[in-house]
Amino acid sequence: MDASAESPFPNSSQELLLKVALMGKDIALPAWREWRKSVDFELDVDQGSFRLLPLAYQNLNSFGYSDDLVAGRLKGIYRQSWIKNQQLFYKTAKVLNLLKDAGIKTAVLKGIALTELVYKNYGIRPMSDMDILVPFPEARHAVDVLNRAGFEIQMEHLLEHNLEFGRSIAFTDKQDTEIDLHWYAFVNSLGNAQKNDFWDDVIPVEVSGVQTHSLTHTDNLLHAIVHGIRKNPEPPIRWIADSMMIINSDDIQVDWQRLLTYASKFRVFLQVKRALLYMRDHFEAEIPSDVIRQMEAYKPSYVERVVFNYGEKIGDNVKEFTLSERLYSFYARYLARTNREGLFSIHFGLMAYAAKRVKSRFTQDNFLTSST
Amino acid sequence: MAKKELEYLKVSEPNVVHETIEGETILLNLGTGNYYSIEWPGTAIWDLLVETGDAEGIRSAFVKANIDKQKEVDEAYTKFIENLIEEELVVTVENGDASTFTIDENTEKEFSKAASKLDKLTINKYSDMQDMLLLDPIHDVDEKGWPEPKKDD
Repeated sequence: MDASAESPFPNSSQELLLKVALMGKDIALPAWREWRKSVDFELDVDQGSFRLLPLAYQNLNSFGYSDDLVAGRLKGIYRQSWIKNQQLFYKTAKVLNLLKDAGIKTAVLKGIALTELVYKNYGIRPMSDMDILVPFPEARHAVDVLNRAGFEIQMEHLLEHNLEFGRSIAFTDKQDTEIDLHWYAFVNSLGNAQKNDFWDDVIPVEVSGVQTHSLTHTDNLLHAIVHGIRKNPEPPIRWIADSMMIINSDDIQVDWQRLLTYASKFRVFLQVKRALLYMRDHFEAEIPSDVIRQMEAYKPSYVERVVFNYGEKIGDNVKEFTLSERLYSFYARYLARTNREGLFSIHFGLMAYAAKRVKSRFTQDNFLTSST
Repeated sequence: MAKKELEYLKVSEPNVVHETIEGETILLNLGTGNYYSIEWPGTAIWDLLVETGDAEGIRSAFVKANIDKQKEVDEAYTKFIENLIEEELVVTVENGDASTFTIDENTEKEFSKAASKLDKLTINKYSDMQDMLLLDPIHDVDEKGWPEPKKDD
């Protein structure tokens, strides 16, 4: 694995594959030929690239292009993705029904929402779990409903901490399918979150016959960027595919001001700026000039800079930490969550946060290392 | 004359999901976990069944596509439809929601070709889904791609 493989930004071969998956024939076909020359299909396909292959297959297919790899193994990867997703949607509908029967409003996030509203195809956006959002006043109720239904809560010792400082908790069913129950769309600046954020304009959507909701297309774009633009052992480059699919969809109008307003409110402006400029420069994303001007003029705070740098340099699901990385991660995770202003207030809040994390250590020995 | 109940079929929704890609229909029965693949000419018949549900109308047109082998065409078609019913991929319905199939020029030409490829009018069934899903679709499959496993040397 090369040095950039964990980056949220693609290396050269990953970028070629993204072009195959996302661009028009004149760019995609030469990119495919170049990708085949530069990548040994048996040896070099990382997990981030693998998850783009069904979309690449579909795009190549839409040009009427085929070759041995496309007609064989790429089509097979599409088939497998289609089946896994169909099974996941079927299970998701059952979970949504449980929550619905308990009177809890739901929305689907990430792959399920994007599959229904943007990709409109069950095979081209592989996913490994279901992400369901409930209003945060309903978080504990929703946890109880899933617990009573037999879903097993993962890392239970973190539940109370997450209910106060986190955005979600994971469950698994008997087949080990993961259900990520979210009560906040983002972990960032939790104190700034208001009850109607994201819920004010949700889109009705049906998942395997069950009515639920999706965030608006604009909010899904924000979510794809913020969730994706962090370093991860599994290269998180699919945020580019998700975001470009939203931006390029003929029937979607991105509300750029809403995007920037939420980005500012949740202190993720730097992530949004970096992502939009990258997509403009590498994938011809049409970002309005006024939006570019606003982004260029934005002055990020200390908290935003630390959180942004943490995402780019350390990010999620790190397997091995040095002590300094552990401390930095702990600090950056706190900063991501707080909505405090001013260095004194921020660091005063850090003490309270640390005290609660120490308390959770007595529950299980994973202080500073567990992903919340 | 009123049509008999068995003459109309519909996909067993919501348990059965399906998609046709590049001349191949893939189907999944979420209730049983079985996966199926239908290749041409079965795809042509499947798409018409999904569109109209008029199994008897399609049979009538298909049998006429090869007047020299009407019996064989009829038997192959019947077997194909019976397989779909046995596997619970389609169910018989009253004809309320179905539309009557009328053949157009393109379908007539396709049926004419299809009636001489009766050996391909089959349903491939894969019932070991959990094992199949464990197959790595890059390294564990043959050149046809997943779910066909790589042959041992």
